[in-house]
Parts: sequence; C-alpha cells; structure tokens
Amino acid sequence: MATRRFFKNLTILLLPFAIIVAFVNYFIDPAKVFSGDHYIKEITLVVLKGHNVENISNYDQRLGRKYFIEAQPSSPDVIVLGSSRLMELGMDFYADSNLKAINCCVSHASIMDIAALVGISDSAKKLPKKFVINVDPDLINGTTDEWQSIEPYYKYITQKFGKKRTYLQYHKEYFKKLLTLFSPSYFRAALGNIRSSGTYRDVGTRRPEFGEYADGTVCYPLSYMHPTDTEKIFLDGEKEGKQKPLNSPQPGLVNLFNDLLTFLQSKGVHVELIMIPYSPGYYLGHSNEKYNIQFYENLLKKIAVKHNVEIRGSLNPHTYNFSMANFYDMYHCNRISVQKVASTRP
Amino acid sequence: MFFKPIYIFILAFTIVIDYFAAIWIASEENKKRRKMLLSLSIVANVGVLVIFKYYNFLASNFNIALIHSNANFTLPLLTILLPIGLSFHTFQAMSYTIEVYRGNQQPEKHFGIYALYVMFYPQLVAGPIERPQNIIHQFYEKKYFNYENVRAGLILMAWGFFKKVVIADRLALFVNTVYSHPHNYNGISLIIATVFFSFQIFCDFSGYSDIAIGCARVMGYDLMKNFNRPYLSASMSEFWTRWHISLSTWFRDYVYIPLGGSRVSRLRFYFNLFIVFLISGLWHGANWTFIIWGALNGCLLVLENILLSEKVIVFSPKAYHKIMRRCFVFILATLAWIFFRANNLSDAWYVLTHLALGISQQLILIKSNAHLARGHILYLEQDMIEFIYAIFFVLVMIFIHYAQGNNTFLEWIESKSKPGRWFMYYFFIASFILFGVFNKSSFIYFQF
Repeated sequence: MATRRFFKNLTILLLPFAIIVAFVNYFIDPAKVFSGDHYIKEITLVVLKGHNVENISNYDQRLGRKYFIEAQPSSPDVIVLGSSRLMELGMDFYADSNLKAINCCVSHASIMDIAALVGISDSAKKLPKKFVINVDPDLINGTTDEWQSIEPYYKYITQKFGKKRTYLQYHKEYFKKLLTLFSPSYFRAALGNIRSSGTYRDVGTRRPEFGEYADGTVCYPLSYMHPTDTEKIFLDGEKEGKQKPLNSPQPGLVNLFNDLLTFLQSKGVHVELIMIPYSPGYYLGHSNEKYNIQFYENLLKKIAVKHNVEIRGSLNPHTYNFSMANFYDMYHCNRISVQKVASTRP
Repeated sequence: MFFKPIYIFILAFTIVIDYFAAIWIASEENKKRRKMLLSLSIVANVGVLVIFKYYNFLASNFNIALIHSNANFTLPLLTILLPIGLSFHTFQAMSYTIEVYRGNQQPEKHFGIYALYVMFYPQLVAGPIERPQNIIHQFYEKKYFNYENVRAGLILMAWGFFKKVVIADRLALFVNTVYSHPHNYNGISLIIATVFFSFQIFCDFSGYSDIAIGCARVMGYDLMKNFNRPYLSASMSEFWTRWHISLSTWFRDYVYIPLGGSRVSRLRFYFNLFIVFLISGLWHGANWTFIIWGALNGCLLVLENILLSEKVIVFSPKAYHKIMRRCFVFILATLAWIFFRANNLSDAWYVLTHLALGISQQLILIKSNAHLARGHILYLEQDMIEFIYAIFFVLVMIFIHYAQGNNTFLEWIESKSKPGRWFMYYFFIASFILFGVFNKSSFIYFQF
C-alpha cells in the first residue's frame, strides 16, 4: 500500500512537469535536435547560394560541415580544418592565389573530428588539393563527445588506414535525445526561443551579426571582436591556465594523427599545419607545467618533421610579439593576427 | 576533481588502523597502554591528514624561512592531490576510537559495519561528521520501505537542491567574478559580492547537508542535524552552535572540553576558545586565509565573552534589539568570510580595506548609469535579471527560515495544509527547472 501511495504521489508531482518540459522541448526544439537533418540541409543550401546566414549557433555544426562538403559542386582547392581558433581563415585569405577555399572548422575540434571530416570529403570524392589543419594541444590530448554525430566517417576513414588499431575507447551516447527531451536547460533555451525567432536567417551578402559566411568562416559579433577589458582577459587566461593544466598527449590520438597524415600523403593531398598562438595570459598560466604549451609545440613540430609536412605559426604569442590587442579572448586570435600567422613562411 | 582509484587505499588505511586500534583499546585494561593505542590511532589519522593536506603548506612556509636565513637547502614539495572529504572521514574515524577509549562505545567487531560507518556514502565527502553512538546501531536494523521516511527524505533533498542549484550556484556567478579579480572592484561591488558569499556558502554547505541527510533518510537512516538557521543567531556564540553543528560539537567534545573548557581560569578559558577556532580554521584548509579566518572567529568569541562577563553589553529581550543583534552578527560573520573566500591574504586585505571606498561616487554613477555603471558596479558583469533572481531567491529562503519559527524545515512543511505542502513541492521543482544553474560546480566543502 505504502509503495503504491508513494508512486502515485510521485507521479502526480512529477508527471505535469515531465509532460510540459517534453512538449516544449520537442516542439520548440531550439537546437533542432528532434527536427531532423532538413534544418541543417536548408542552411547548407543558403550558404551554397553564396549567401551569409546568422542566428545559427543552435545546430549540429558537425553535421552542417558534412552537408557543406558533400554539396560542394566540385572539389575545393583548400579545406581549412581545426577548431574555432582557425574559423576565420577562408576565401578572402586565399583570394590572391586564386584558390577556392572553404572553412570546415568545428568548435572543440579533436583529431577524431579532423579524421571524420577528411573521411567525409574522401567518401564524397571531394578531397581538396590542400588541407590546412589547425593543430594545438586539444587535438591530441583528449576529446569531447561532439564528434560522434559524424562518427560513421571516423570509422570509414580509420578503416582506410588499413591498420587494426584502436585509437580511442569511447562510450556512444545512445540516450542523448531522450536526455535532451527532459533537460531543464533545453527547456529554458526553448522558452527563450519563443520570444526570439529560433531559426536561421538568410542575410544575403550582408555581414551577419553572428553567423557564418558563405565560405564557412565564422562571423563574430562586433562586441566580441573589440573587447574593452583586455587586462581582465589576460588575468582570466592566466587563472584558467593555472587551474586547468593540460592533459598529457594520448598515444592513441597521436597515432591517429600520424596515420591520417600518412593517408593524406598517400592520396597526394598537400597538408599544411598551422599553430595559432594562445593569449599571453593563458600561455603564462600553463608555463610551469610538465605538459605546457611549449611542450606541445615541440611535439607537433616533431610530428610534422616526421611526415615532412609544412608547419607554420607558433602556439607562443611572443613569437609574433602578440599582445592582448591581438586577441578576442584567452583562446582566440583576431582575424588579422590569424592571417598574419597563416601567411608567415616557416 | 579527478578520480584516482589508488586513493581508496588511504581510506582503507585509516579504516584498518582504527578498526584494530579500537578492539585493542577495549580489550586492554592497562590505562597507559590504552592511552598509547589511542595516541597511535590518532597519530596515524592526523599523519595522513598532515601528509596529504598540510605537508606542502608547511614545507613551503618552512622554505621561506630557510631562504630568509640563507640556508642552502629547501624541503621538496609533493605533487599529490587532496583526497576528497579527507578531513571529514578522518575526523569521523577519530571520534570512533576516542569514544571507544572513553567507554561510550563498544568496539565494532564486524569489519564491514565499521567500514560502512567511515564510508557511509551520503556523508562520506562533506559530513555531517557522525558519532558512532548515533549511527552504528542503525546499520544493524533491518530496513523496509517506509513511506514517511522516503517522503521526508525527498523533501529534505528538494530543499537542499533548491539551496544549492537555485541559490548558491547563482550567487557564485557574482561572487566568483569579483573575488577572482577583486582589485577591479571597490565599495558597493565588494559589499554585494561579500554578502552574496555569506549566503552562497550557507546555501552550498547546508544544501549539501540536507541532501546527505535526506538521502540517508530515504534509506531509513537518521543523520545528525548540521545547520540550524545560523544567520538568525543573536550572538557569535549562538552562531557557532548553529553552523556546521557536527564539526563544532566535534571540536567541543574532543578538543575544547579536554583542554578544560570553561571550567578553568578566565584567561585559560579564552585561550581554549581561541585555540579551538584556530584549529578549526586550519582544519578547513592549508592556507593562511583559513587560519586567519579561524583566529578572527576565535577573537570575536573571546571578545564577546569578555564584554558579556564585564557586563559591557547586556542582551535585551526586546524584539528590535534582537533583530539588531542578528544583523550585527551577520555583519561580523560576513566580514570574517572574506578571509575564507579570498584567494590569498593580499586579496582579503584589499577587499576588507576597500569595502567602504568610493560608495558615493558609485551611487552617482549607478543613478546616471554612465559607462554602463550599473552592470559593472551593481550587477557585477551579470545580467540584471540574474541579479534580481539572486536577491529574490535569497529572500525566499530568509522568509522560509523566519516562517519556520523554532521548527525544523520538515516540521514546518508538515504543519502546512495539504494544498500548502503541494504548493511548496511544485514551487521547488519549478524553481529547479526554470532557475537552476547547471554549470557542474561542485560543493565548496568537498575541498576540505
């Protein structure tokens, strides 16, 4: 009796919330988790028309990149891969050399993302003449689970390497949609979306407020691009560096990187690696660790030398005499500084 | 936070030592040997604490002294992590051997039960620090599904989650902004951040305690109460009988009373009070900020006792006097928290000396909202709506505390009519869904 009473009361208490949350999350769906791929495909079609889009932060960026690569009318000359730290490098940089370039960087990129994106371009027969890959510690020292939405292409490409190697043990997120359905954070985002239109906006050739250009490069809000309190960003970076030491490099991820470079070279694809500096505060915050930023720079250079691959730039801001004026935040160099690094010959 | 499986052996070490020490103490009739066995057990426990929690602090301070005396060597520093909840389960283990030594508790022969006493998961990482008399016998009782226990436990957990996720983690957004760079702020901003921290630490820690007690209650176990609305205290002595009760009583029973308590000369009594708070500060963390925080509270208590005994202050029963005293105690406790929260002594000193600076200019700026002054000074770089939410939910908590009267939270809820109770349940869940801050922040007291 007591058990039945308990479950009855618990149901009366929780069921209304569960129904309301699930209903709002499913039907408003601010990150387009439940509305399928057609939303992402729509955005891709707009971009392919040569238009810029804004208000697209809430969608699966990796799937967006997949459709973007697959829908290219022909193989691009250059595909830029990496994390958000290289998201501003695109057509305008390569215009002088008359190359068609697209940017397929994704936030929090790991080597699994890079491998999967290479897999997408290979399977779609859209391998470019050149891959420009942004390399930094995050590429080889850990991973998030975000890359799992393009996981089939990760499997596809690693099978092509012809080695029976396990690069990474990972737990597949089977219940992601179910958890999202009842997520309070998602519910609040959904409520926020009721007021402001949650869908993307095709802005033609106008500069989007915060969105994506037609070549896949990001367009940040002006307020973000012109930070006022650079001293605070310096201190925040230093604190972040001290509080969150870098993980050691993972052998499996380093192997994956090596195998990927070998594969691309075997296909005759030119590879160029770029290291973008971290902000001076963040660099300083990590300086006393065993696996500091300089350690990673040396390691990445070693990998490049091993494969005879061109590597440009530096993770160290002092190499380019960069001050906080060259940064948006502790991780991200501004557009001009990124282009300066990318144009410097090794 | 990291998970290092090897650290389980630290827990295993103290459990094995204290398990056998207690059995030997109980079977030994020779007083000297009993004392020696107890001392060995205490040394083993404190030794673990010293190595993992205090060694680097002691060594780095010692090294500073060595450098000043031109010595050509320094002590090496260890690269070890502080095991989560170490201070809590060490103190709980120590209370067991001491109680066995004192004859208040029979030694536990069942190793599993004893290990459970030290590792009982709801309170393993941040208390309440239980006494063996209260909990060990409960592990022998058969537990069945009990509707009232489950309901009461879940209500307590909801109240705890409300305090943690809706209030403490929201206040943390403001507090962390200011205390990570206090030199960028002064006057009103520092006052807001400091007052917010007072509520943050209360909601964070008492929230955890309520969740732990509620979780144990669901399973049919009664844990001791750890907080009793401390900010309604009308004196500092009262505050310390209402804040972190399980630790305060631990220090009372195992440090303060053995030192002679209050049944000694006046001077010695003040010394006893002061030393207990100094140790309490050190217990919280290996940092000068915690030691100063403990010493400051010790001084406040000594001062209060001197003023009361000399009849310089007399507690009047009038209601408005009591409200004023409560406000005064809150201000004193809040000022002391500055040392607890600040990253180092220089930050703490900066906050303390700049609390009252520039207020009039700030008020003018806020009024005119020049250069987005409100956002910087008042809302501490957060949205105005977050600031309003923060104040609203703190007021809700204060209202509930007042409404409780002398009842516990559970008794207060039980005294409501059925619609009133259900309104509260819905209110907690709705607040959690709509206003909870889910940024994976751990509980402040996990670091101790």
